[in-house]
Amino acid sequence: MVECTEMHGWYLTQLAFFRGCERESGECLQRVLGGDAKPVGGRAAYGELGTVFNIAPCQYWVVTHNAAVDRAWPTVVAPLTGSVTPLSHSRVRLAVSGPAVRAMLGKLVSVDLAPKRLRVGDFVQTALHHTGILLHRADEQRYELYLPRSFAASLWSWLNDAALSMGELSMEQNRT
Amino acid sequence: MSGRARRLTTGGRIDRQIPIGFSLEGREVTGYAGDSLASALLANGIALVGRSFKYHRPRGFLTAGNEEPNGLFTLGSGARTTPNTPATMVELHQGLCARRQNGWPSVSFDLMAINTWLAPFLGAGFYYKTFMGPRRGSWMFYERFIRRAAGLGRAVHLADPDRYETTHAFTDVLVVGAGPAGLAAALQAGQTGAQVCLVDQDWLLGGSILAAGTDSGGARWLREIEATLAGMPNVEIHRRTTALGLYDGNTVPLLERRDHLQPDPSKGEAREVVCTLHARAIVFATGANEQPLVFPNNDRPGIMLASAARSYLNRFGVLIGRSALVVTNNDSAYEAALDLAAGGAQVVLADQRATLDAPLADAARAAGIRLLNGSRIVGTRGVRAVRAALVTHALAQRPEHIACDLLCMSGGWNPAVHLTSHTGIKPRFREDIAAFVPGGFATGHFAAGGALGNFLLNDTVREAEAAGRAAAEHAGYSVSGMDALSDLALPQQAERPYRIQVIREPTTRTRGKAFVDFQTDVTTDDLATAHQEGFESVEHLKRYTTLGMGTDQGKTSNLNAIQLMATLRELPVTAAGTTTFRPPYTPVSIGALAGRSVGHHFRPTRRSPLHDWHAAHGAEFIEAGPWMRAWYYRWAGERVETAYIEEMRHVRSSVGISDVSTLGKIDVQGPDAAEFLHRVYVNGFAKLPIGKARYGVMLNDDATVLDDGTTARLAETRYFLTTTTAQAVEVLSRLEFLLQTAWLDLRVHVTSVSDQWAGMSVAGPRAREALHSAFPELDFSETGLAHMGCREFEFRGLPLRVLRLSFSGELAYELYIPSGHGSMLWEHLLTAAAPLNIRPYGLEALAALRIEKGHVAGLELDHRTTLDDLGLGKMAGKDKAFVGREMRLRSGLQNPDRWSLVGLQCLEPAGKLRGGAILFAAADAVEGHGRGYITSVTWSSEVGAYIALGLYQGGLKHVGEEVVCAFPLKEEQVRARIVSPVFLDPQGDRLRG
Repeated sequence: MVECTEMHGWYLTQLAFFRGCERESGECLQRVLGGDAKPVGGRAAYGELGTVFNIAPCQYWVVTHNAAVDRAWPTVVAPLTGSVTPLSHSRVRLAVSGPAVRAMLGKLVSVDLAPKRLRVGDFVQTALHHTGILLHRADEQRYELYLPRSFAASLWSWLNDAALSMGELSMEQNRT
Repeated sequence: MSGRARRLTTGGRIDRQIPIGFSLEGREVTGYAGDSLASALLANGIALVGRSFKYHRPRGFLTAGNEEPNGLFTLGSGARTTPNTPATMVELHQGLCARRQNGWPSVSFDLMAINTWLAPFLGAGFYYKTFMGPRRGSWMFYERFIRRAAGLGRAVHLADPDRYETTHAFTDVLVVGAGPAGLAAALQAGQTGAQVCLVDQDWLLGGSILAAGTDSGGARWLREIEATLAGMPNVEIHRRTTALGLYDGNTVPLLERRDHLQPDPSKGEAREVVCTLHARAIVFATGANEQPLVFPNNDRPGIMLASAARSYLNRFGVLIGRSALVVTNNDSAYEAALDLAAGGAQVVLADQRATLDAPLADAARAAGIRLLNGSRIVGTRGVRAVRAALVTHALAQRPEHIACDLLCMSGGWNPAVHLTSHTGIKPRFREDIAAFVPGGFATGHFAAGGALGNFLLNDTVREAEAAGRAAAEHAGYSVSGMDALSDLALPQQAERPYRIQVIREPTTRTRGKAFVDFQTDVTTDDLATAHQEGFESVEHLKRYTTLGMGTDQGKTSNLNAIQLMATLRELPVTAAGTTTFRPPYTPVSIGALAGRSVGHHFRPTRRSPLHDWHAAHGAEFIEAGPWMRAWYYRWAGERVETAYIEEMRHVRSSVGISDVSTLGKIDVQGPDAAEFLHRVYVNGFAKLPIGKARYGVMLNDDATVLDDGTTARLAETRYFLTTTTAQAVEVLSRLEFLLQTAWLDLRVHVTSVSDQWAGMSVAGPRAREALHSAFPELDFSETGLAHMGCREFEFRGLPLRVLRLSFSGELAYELYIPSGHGSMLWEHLLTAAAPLNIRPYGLEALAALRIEKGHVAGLELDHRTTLDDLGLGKMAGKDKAFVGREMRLRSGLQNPDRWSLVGLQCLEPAGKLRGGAILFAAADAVEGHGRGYITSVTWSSEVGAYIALGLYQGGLKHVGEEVVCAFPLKEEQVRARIVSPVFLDPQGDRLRG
């Protein structure tokens, strides 16, 4: 059994900083994460205001459920130090979970999903059916996929097809 | 068709309590659980299993494994037909439907066997010599007949209803082969805690042990180690799984066959699964293949490898013949001879070697085997089954006629070095075993047992344990204290060193064909011919004779061929070279490679944020690259040919709305963004004011046009760059490349926002009214938003970008809103402007409108045209640097006779221009590549004729001239006149409103 659900009510913003602006980026990310947590590549950093994915050098995706926080980014990052790019509408976020989720994802992505290799909190940028996605292991048996919006319907169908042999009720059609 | 094989009442690894029914050419046959199709057929006395490739000679099984060259069957029926499947690898299951191949009208009575008599004309390379004339192109005529006469099974032209799957997996240690070496290596690696993946093509573990009796020491060891491995959670065992190849990064595609489960595709059950496995270390325990001996008429049914006869006897309980002649040049065949004798056969053993190993000879004699030393087999008798052999030996002056119904041969063993060779490391010839072994190993690769030329069971197990330890250590696991593993006792089996003596005699033409490659019918005569004609190199030999090019990849022929060619060339085998092994190791179905990427899953498709609206409102869709785009709407007509014209008319006369969300959109930000764009585009962007947009063209390094589009300056450091739909990805990639390699000093970020923004174009003389209706509080007047102006608004709390620019030539605006709100904005525009009769128009009309206006698009921007070719040369800044500037000045690109953009107007009222039509001057002969071609075409109501854009030699200097537009596919020729590519409103009055 695998359950696949589209997630709503979240915001995604890309924050990118120019070389030499490490101090500014650190201050900015501290606002999200609090404390001394520093996002590193391949591992999501969690804070009160959201989750940060370090997707490239000096480049971060910040996911929040707080609209006010999302709207505030342009005031936080000065144009001379970096850039703010709203991407909430560019991605569809799917949660895939269940006992058979690893077996199903093994059909889809060339990623070592062994629990000790992709730990809870880890993420990878990979390809799903020729399409670039971000795969985040959110919990023991729960993975979240950030799919390019225009590909989402096609990939949803692709996931459905992959889940066909995964049990009687393979996927819950929760897409809205 | 019937041989003298019989099923024994006891023994073997089959379950006689579970009969399995299957059919051979419609005839009901029965085998047992555990049988292969081959063993079941043999047990039923069916020895004639096919006809040979070229000469249609009757053939029986040569082997019991994947190297089988003769027993290829067509399995299944209808759309589930699978040709060329070795019956030796097919696990018998209920309802299996099999057919023999390559016989007409049947394998039993094959009229094509006449080819045997035509043999003098069918030697090596015959088709290169015979079918080249009398005229050029004659081969095309002959080819179909040759293909019909020769060949294997036939595929069907029906969609495969079965399901195939692809997966990905990762492991610490991959062990290829589950014979004694593989089992021992897997156990040892597994005991370090490493994740181990053990794969074997067979449905039983054990490899060569399976050919031994079930009460042998090896068999007892097998039972014990199998049980141990089954209890290890970190060891995955994959039966019926073949490692197809070895690629960079220790990537190994594994093919798992699941036919025996009779999978139901409607439940998502796959018939075959290809798993792309990534391993940290690999142990090759691939074993070795026994080789045939080469002698006249060595291909009759009933002649097989000694190990195969032993396997059929001990594993499947089938005694192939009652009078067995075993011919050999090595020790291993004695095991077969002894087992056959024990199984009840009368056995004669003809050993080529003059001096025999005393213990072996004694054992043979003690078993009642007649032993002939210093022997040669010089011929065989029989037609559809072997009846006798002619053997010379030390005790006879003349060849002795030895009656037999089973002839077992053993020419030694050749390690299966295919996978290790896939890394590019050529195998190495070892004189002591007269076989090729791996020439070396890449880091993290290990091997043991037969794959290394070690054919002794106890040595193999010890060697494999060491390989398993080394592999686990390479994968990062501690092996300290494991040197003396073996909780399991070694197989208790008395063994003597493997000895072989290959007698290389000059190859002469023989009476009776001596086959080297059974599958492609290559004989010693063919090798001699190739040698005479200079095709001596192994690679040339292979291609000239087709040796080793069958589905078995020469597993039973390469070694003999190389040795024979070395003899002909009077070279040592080490100097004769070897062939190149390439994946796949065994044939793989196209379905397995495709996996689930079939039908509408062939590739992912992209949908606009407005897709659902289009679908609900009468749009017909068309694939445009990966995009599903609204092609036309039924409000304008039921057929595209008329609907798009109506949509065009509506845009030209009133107002239309079109979905342009598919355009590439790139967010460009940074203090150096202006300088960056200034360098990227041929025209100036450094001084583009905020709130303004500009059309720009960017070039490739070689000065051909990469793409065009409009870029708007939203703020001091922020731009909204649009690209064509087709080039969106390439442009982003290009920009990133430049920033990361050429201009590291520029502080600029580029991010694709193509999916972030929904886009729609409102076009037509009443476009301004439409926007005013939708946004009465906003100013879209000439002063409020001039042509090429850009404004950002807030609409219902959402950001809304409006650019005033035109693709159609009409007054037009492009509106962008976050994708999730695209439908809302679209519907708002339609509702608000309903009194103006605003209507949606699709891709066909969009493209046609731009042709009338003379705008170039993807069909003209084909990475071969330059700025000047497209009439855009004046855009290039004279005093600024831009990508492609210097290369643009090359003389070849400045040639005035280059194919350049022109307009074309059809001169024939009933004529139709076609995209791709070849252009000829009126006086030209209509042949060859002409002077250009049509890139884009449409009907134009404005002009009242078909019009087109095209590329023509010399371009617009031929304005007014008449040309012939030839479309050879439909044998059409239509007259047209070269005109300006701008068919509509050349002064731009309409787009300025």
